[in-house]
Amino acid sequence: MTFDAIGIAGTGLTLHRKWLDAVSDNLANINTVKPTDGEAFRARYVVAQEGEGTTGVYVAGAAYGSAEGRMVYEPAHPLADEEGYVRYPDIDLASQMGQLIMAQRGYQANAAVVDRAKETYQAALQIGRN
Amino acid sequence: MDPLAITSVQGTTGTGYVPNVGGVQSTDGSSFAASLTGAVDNVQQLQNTSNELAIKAVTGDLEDIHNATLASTRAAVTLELVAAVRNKGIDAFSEIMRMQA
Amino acid sequence: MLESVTSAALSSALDGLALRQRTIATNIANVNTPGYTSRRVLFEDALAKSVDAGSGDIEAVTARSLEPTRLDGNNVNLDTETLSNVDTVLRFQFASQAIGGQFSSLRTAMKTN
Repeated sequence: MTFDAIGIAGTGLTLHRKWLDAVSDNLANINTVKPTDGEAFRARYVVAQEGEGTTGVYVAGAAYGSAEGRMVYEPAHPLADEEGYVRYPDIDLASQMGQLIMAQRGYQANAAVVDRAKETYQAALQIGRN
Repeated sequence: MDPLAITSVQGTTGTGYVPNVGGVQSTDGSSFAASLTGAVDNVQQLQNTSNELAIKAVTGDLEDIHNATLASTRAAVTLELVAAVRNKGIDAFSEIMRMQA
Repeated sequence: MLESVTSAALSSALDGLALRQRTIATNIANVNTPGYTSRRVLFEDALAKSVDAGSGDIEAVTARSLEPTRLDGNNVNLDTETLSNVDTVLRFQFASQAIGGQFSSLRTAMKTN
């Protein structure tokens, strides 16, 4: 592949962006209530996998958090069952914020690689031009 | 008799101090032509390599772009060198022709 | 003159540095991949030895880093990779200019008047 390093950094950008999306989704739904007869809202994690040779990284799939969630006693809630329980997602705010920061840092690092790779290729293109 | 009158010169023999120098051999000019031809072939080869790498670069098959720019520069500079030598040769030839006229 | 040891060494350096650039990109793309071990490209020592031996033509090699891993098995050090990236770019720019300079010198030598 010509201008390889840019493509490789691109895979890094895609992965970290998907990770950011998943974390944003988890945070947006941190208080989503579900009835006890179904699953709770499950946190989503992106599973990263190293690419073959030097091809960067790709999303191998998604992993999901707990389906039971947290049973909370809220009899006044419209979705509460006969005993007054509802399911809240089992998502830890602190952990999600930590992931958000890591995903952002990873995204920025890959963006910087694109800039530097471009400088390298530009230098290569200047060879022999007086 | 006039002491300055020159009488015929008898055959002289060499002193033997200076070695004999052979006559100048004429060259057939083929060795210079051969090296110039070799250089032109080399330019052709470099040009082919450069073209190959350029195609690979634009079709996405080339890993290191600097190989393409290096090859194209080598081809260009070698061609310039051959052209300069040829021009010098022509200049020298014209110079000689002018002298004889 | 185009086939001198310097020319071969600079060309090998460009190849090695370009491989290093790709390797750094791969490491940074995998900075959060569980179980991924960082890779490094080595060629400077081999190149020095080769130049001393009168050649200058070598291949770069890739090795895995033996740095300790974090909890997820990943050992990519983002600070190291970033510094290495900047260093690689500068070296590549230098090598490109150096090899380009050889051609410029040749062109200058050919000019008359």
